[in-house]
Amino acid sequence: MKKALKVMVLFSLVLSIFSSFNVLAADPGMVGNSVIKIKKPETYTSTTTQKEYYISGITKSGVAVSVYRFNPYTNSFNLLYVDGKAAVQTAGASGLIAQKVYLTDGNNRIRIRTDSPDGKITLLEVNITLNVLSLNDIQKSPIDIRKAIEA
Amino acid sequence: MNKKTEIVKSIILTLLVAMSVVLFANTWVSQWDYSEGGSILSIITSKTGLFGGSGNSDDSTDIFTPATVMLTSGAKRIIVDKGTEKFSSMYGDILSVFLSYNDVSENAEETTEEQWYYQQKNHSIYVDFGINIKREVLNYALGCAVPDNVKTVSSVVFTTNGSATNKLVVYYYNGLENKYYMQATSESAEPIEKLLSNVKGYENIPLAVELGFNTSPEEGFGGQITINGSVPIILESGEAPKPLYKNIKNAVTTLDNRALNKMLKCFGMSVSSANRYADKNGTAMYIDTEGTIKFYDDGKSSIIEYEAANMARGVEFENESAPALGSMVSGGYDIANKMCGYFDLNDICLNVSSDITDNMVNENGEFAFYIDYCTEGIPVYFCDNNKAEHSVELKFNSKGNLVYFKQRIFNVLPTDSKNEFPAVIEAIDNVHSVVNKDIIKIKKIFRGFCINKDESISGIWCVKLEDDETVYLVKN
Repeated sequence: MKKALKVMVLFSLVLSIFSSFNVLAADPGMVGNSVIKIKKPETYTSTTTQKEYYISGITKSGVAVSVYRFNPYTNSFNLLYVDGKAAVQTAGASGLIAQKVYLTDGNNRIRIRTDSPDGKITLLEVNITLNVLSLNDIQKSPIDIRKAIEA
Repeated sequence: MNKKTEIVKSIILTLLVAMSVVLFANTWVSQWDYSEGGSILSIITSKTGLFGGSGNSDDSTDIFTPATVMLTSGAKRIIVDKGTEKFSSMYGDILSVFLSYNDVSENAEETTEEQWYYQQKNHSIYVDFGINIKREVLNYALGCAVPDNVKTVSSVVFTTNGSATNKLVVYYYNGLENKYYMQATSESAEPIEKLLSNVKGYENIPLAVELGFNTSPEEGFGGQITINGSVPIILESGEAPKPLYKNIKNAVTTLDNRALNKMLKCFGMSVSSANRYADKNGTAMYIDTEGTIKFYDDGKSSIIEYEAANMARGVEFENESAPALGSMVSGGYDIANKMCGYFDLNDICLNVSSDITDNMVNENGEFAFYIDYCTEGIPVYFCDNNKAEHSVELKFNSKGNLVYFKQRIFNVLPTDSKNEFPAVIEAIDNVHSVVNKDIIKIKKIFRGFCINKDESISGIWCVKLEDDETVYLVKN
């Protein structure tokens, strides 16, 4: 009897692990939680050649969305200021938000914080790598590429 | 004494003859229509074809000028609206690209929405007509060669993407059927490369597709809104020149007899043949066997309204070479343009604002289309309603004759002051306040001017939805 119970527990454990993998596999690109869905970037980790980049998403009306970037020197996330304005937006009736950010070369750890009117806070992190070389650069000679990297 | 009387009599008689000659000449000259030229000589040349006059004042090229051109180079863009100086300086070059592949008669290859967005997002020139135009009409008006299987054109993308030999590749969007087409040409893409590199002032303006705003609404999030991927999302508030509204009260009284006669002639009538009536509300009417023309004021502006006496007749436009819809639009637009001339509305531009397709022809073969007033390429609407009212309304019978015409008479004058336009996303947030639908599919968002009740003008965003011809006015 005990053996049968053990087998059943083990079987249900294996089943739940597999089913959780399936959920992830079914929507691997979905970036979001119950308060916000990020539309751009489409995945948690992405690469771009655009220094001036837009993070966009959809949330619920009245939710304040703020964007932070990881600062390796202070080992903390700092609120971004873009063109002199804090990267904080409160979603209107459409729920659509879009925030411009200036990416730094290499990996940018971006944290998106939501503050709901009921006081609930969520945090979400995306990694966007800025590639300094564009497709045009690839067509250039290795010397040009070296010059571009040095510049 | 008798001799003196004779002399006086002769002088009086000579004066009477001279006066009758002057009056006759005055009446005769007033019958001439100067609107096409400006002098009797120019009228004679245009009517007879002498001295190189063509006898056809067809300005179809102007009628179907695109509403917006968007140049994309690298990840940056420039949006240029019709009516601006920048547009005027580049439109000739864009038109020549249109005409450069005139010899291509093969069908275009159907492609996908993803391909279309890919081309638009990258190195390209996007030309948006703002309305759906029947292929035959566009080919006639611009002299271009849109392939046979592209039945309707809403917008076009010129690019070199996908061509290994740097040849021009043209993409068409048929907004009526939601179909995309690709046509590879043998023409060099050099003209578009030149245009892309010559224009200055590129900015980072994302398209809805680049922000993922064109995807299906997320259940439980936001306002259930999707936006056509081609719509540019201008995230910063901006400025535009602030025009001044000028109401022309009792417009008919501003016209002299000659101008009035020319106006009536547009509708096949004349001052001498029509009877004039005025009612107690101040409406002036000219009635003859051809139709009725009314001049009245509805509190917002003066209005001219024409109605044919017999719906089977109306005003005929002779243009055998033009496709039926093209001939009607060209003729109707010409009348609206002449009306602007009679009332000195020199700062007004005219925008055809409804589709020019067979879908606008009803089961009885009758066709209707609308024209909006604009200034600096930006349409002007009265803001007493959330739905835009067109400035000119035209209806044609199944023979292609104009049977109904209504035009508002007001002016908008340029000033040095500026009007602020909020960021597009604010307009998107406010769409639910003017559109009573659960799921809103936005087809176009464009700037507009709104004439308020106090006659001040403010900048607004105008929204057009998929499957809906209405222009919704989204106030701040």
